[in-house]
Amino acid sequence: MLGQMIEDRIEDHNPESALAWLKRGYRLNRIKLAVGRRDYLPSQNYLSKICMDAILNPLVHPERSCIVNIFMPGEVLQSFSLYPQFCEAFACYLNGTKCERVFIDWAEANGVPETFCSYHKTLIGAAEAGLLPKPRFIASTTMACDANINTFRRLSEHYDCPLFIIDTPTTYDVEAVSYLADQLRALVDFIAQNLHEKPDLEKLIASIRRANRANALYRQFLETLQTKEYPNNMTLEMYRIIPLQSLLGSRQSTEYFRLSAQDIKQCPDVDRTKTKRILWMHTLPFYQPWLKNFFADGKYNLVLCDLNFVNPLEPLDEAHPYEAIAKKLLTNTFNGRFENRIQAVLQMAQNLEVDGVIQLCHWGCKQSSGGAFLAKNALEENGFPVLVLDGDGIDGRNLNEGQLRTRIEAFKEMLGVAR
Amino acid sequence: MIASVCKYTPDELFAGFGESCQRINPTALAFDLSDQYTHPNLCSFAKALLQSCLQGGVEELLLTECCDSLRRVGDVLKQKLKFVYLLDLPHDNNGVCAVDLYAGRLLDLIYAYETYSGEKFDIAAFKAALPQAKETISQPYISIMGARINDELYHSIAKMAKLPVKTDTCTGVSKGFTQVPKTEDLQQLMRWYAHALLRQNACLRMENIADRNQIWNDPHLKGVIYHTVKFCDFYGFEYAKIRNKGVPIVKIETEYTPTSDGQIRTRIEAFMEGLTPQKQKSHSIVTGYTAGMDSGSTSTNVVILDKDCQIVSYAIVPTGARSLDGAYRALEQALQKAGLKKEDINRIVSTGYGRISINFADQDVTEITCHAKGVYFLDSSVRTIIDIGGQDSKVIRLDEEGNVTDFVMNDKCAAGTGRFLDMMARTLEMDLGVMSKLGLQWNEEIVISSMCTVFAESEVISLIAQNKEIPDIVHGLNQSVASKIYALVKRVQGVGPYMMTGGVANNKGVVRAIEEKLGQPLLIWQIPDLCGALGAALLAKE
Ligand code: SF4
Ligand code: SF4
Ligand code: SF4
Repeated sequence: MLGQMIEDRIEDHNPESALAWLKRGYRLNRIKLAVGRRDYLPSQNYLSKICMDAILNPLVHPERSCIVNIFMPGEVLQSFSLYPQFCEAFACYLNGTKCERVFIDWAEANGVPETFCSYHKTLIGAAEAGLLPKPRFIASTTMACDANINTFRRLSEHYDCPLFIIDTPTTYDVEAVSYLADQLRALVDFIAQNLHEKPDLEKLIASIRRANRANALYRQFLETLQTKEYPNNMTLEMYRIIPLQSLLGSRQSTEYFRLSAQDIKQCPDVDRTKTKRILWMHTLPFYQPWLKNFFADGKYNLVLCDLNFVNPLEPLDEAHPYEAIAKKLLTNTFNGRFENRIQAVLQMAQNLEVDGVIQLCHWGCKQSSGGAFLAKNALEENGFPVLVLDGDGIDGRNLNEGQLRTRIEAFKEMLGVAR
Repeated sequence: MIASVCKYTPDELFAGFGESCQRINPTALAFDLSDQYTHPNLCSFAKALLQSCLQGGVEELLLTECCDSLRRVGDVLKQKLKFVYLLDLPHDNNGVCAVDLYAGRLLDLIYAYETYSGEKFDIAAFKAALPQAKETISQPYISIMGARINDELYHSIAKMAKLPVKTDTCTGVSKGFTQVPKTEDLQQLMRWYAHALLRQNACLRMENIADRNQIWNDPHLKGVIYHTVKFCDFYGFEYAKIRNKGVPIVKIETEYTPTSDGQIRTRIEAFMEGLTPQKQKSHSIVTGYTAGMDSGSTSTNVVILDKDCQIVSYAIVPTGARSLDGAYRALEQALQKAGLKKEDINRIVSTGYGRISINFADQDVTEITCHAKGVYFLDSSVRTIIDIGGQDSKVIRLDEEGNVTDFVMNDKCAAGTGRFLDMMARTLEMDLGVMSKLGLQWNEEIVISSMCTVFAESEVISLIAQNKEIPDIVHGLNQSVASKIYALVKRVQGVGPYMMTGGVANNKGVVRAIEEKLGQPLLIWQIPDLCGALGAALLAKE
C-alpha cells in the first residue's frame, strides 16, 4: 500500500509528497515497534527500533545527516552525533516498503548500468528522484567495492555537496596504517568544518570506548552462540549490520549488544538432531518469501552472516584513535585478498560448528561473487557443504525463485546425509 | 616476459632486471576455463584475461588493484601462475601521501622480483627504458573513450571512420616521461616514478577525474565512440555524464570477444553517417525508379518509388537462411507487381542487418538513417521513432529537419524485441496475430518481473500453472516490452509526436501498452514494416 503510494508519487514527479508519506509510514511503524513483537527477544525488539530510527533520523534531520557507505567507521560518525544513512540499509528499507523498483528503474533510465549493484542503484534512484533529502556531506571508503566511488561521486555532483573519499589500501602494513590514519584525521576536520564545529578528541575517545564495550559484548555473544540456539531471521541478521557499522560508538549500539549478550544466555542449547545450523555469506535477500520460510520452520537456523564478523573485535587503542581505526579498516575481511574473507568464514564455521554454508552471489557484485568458487572449494575441503546461490539482495527481478527452490531443496537433501 | 594490463603499472621497472614487461589485451572466444574458477558475472575483460592465462602462455603477471574484477582474477591466478603480483594502486591520484605510498609499493615490487628471479635491479637500465613523451594529435579526430577496447574492434572502427581515431581508454594511452632525475638513490627515484605514473590522465577508477574534461573539450575532437565492457560499471557513469555535453557520441558495449557483431557495426556506421551529413539532402538527383531494400533477420522488404516519390510497388518476403537469396526474391516480387524489369531501376540502396551482403545494391546505409528518412517523409512532425524489429529495437530522435540527433538500441538480450514476443507466443502456443488481439482483452493486472527471456518464460509457465487468464498473461508480457522500450525512450530524452515502425507495430496490445507508458498516442503507418525500405528508396534518389 505505502509502497504503491510512493511509487505513484515518484512517477508523478512529486517527491516531496512521497517523502512525506514515507516518513509518516516509518513513524507509524516506529510506534508499532515500540510495542514490540511477542516472538522477538528483548534485544531483537530493541534492534528493530534503533534500526528504524537510524533510517528515519536522516530523513527528518537532513541537516545533521550524511550519506555513507557500509564501512564508514561509526566511531567517527557517532562522535559527532551524526545521522548517517548508509547505502545498503536504506535500500533494504525501501525494499521493505516495496517501492525499490521505481528507484532502480529511475537510476537505469538515467544511465546507471543495469549490471550495477542494486543497493547502489536504489540509493542513486532515491537521491536523484528527490526522495532522499540533501545531506550535510557524503563520505565513503574505497573498500569494500568499486561501487562506492561511482555512486558517491555521482551523488556529490547531484546534490552539489562535499565529498570525502577514504582511500583504503589493500595491503596491511605500517605505511598503509599511517596513510589511512592521516586521512581519518582529515576526515574529522572535514566533518567538523561542514558542521561548523570544532573537532573534539574527547568525544572521539568516548565513542571508541562505547564501541570497545559493544565489541566486547558481541564477542561474548558469539562465544555463547557456539552452544546456544539464538532464534534468528534474515531481516534481523541484516539489521545487525547497522549497530556493527554506522551506529557503532553510539549508546544505542552498545545497549543492543548488552541486551543480546543477556538474551542469548536464556536461549535453549543447540540440538543438532532437530536443527541444522547455516552460516550465510554475503547479503541476505530477506524479502524472498520462500527463503524466509526456509529459515522459519525451525529445522534450519540462520546462525550468522559473514557481514557480521568483518572486523576484529579486540578493543581499539584509544591512545592512538586514528591508527586504531585505520587498522580496523585495513583488517576488514572485505579488504584486499579474498583469502582473508575465506579464512574468517572458515574459522567461524569451525567455531560455531555449522552444518553448511550458503553464499549469495548478489547480481553485479564482483567483489564477492568473483571469489565464490574459491570460497566453496576451501570450505568444502574442510568438510563444510556449500551452496552457491545466484540472486539479488534487493531486486527480486534478478532472482529466479524456481531455480532457488531447486537448489535449496537439493542442498537440504545433501545436508541430510552430510551429518 | 612479464604481462601487465594497466597504464599505472611500472612496466619499465623490469628493464632493470633485463626483462620486458608487456601490456597484454587478450580476448576470448569461450569462457569455459574462467567459468570454472569464477562467477560468470565478472567483467568480460577480466574473464578473458583469466581464460587466456589459464590456457597457458602467461607465466608472470603484474596486476594493479584496479577493480573488484581484476582483484578476484588475481586471487584465482595466484594459485595458478609462477609469479603473480597485485600492486596496491592508490585511488588518490592527486595527493602527496599517495605518491609516497605508491613509491613504497614499487620498492616492494623490486624486492619481490629480486627474490623471485635472483636478479639484481639495475638503475641505469631502468632509466634507459623510460619512453619519451609523444606528440598530441592536432587535426580533427574521433576519440574512443571509456573502458579498454580490444585490438580487433579498434581496427575495425579505424577502418570505418573517415577521420583519424585516437584511443583515450586504458589500452590506448602511451606513457611519456620528461625530466628523469639524475639521482642514483632508488627511493628518490621511485618517488619520482610513482609521481609520474599517478599523474597520468586519470581513468575512472581514480578519485580525481577532473582532468578528463580535457578529452571532450578538445576543439579537434569531432566525435566520441564510447566503449563499455559488460559488467564493468565505471564507465557507464561517465557516459551518462558527457552525453549531454554537445559532442556527438555513441555508446557501444562488448563482451571482449574478438569479433564484433552486426549491431555494433550498425551503431558505428550510423554514427559516422551522422557525423558527415549529406549537404544536398532534398535535391533529387536520380530520376526514374529507385528501390530500397531492408534486409532484416526475419523478413526482407522492398519498396519501389517512381520519379515523384510515389510508391509503385512493395514486397515483404521471409529472409531465409541467406540474405542475398531473400533479397533477390523480394526484388523479383516487387518488380513483378509493378510490371517493371530490374534495368528500369536506376539506383538501389540496401539497409538492415544483411545490407552488406546485397551485392547488387549501389549503396548501403544503416537502418537508423533509413528509418529517419522514411518516417520524416511520411510525417515531418515526428520527433521520436520507436522501431521494434525481430532482433532489435531502437529509438531515434529527430530534429525539425529530420536529422538524427540521437539514437539508442537495445542491448544484446532479447527483452523488448520481436524475438521476445515470438518466444513467448511459442510458450503460450498461439500465433502472433491472436496474441496481438488477446492483449487488449485483459482484466487482471499481472506483472512479469523478469526482463530476461529465460526467466520470463519460466514465469509464464508458472502463471499458466496457476490458471491465470491467457489475455492477462499476454498483457503482462506487453507491459514488460513497453517498459523496456520506455527506458530506451527516456535514454534519448524522447518527445512527441512519436511514430512506431517495424513489424511489432502491427501488434495492437503492445502498441496500446507503449501508448499508456508514454501517455501519448503512437502514429503508425499502414505498413509499418516498410519504413526502412522506404527510407532507403528515398536515399537512392539523393
Ligand atoms: S553487494 Fe557487493 S557490489 Fe553491492 S555494495 Fe556490497 S560489496 Fe558492493
Ligand atoms: S581502469 Fe584505470 S586502474 Fe583500471 S586498468 Fe584501466 S587504467 Fe588501470
Ligand atoms: S573493464 Fe572495468 S571492470 Fe574490467 S578490468 Fe577494466 S576497469 Fe575493471
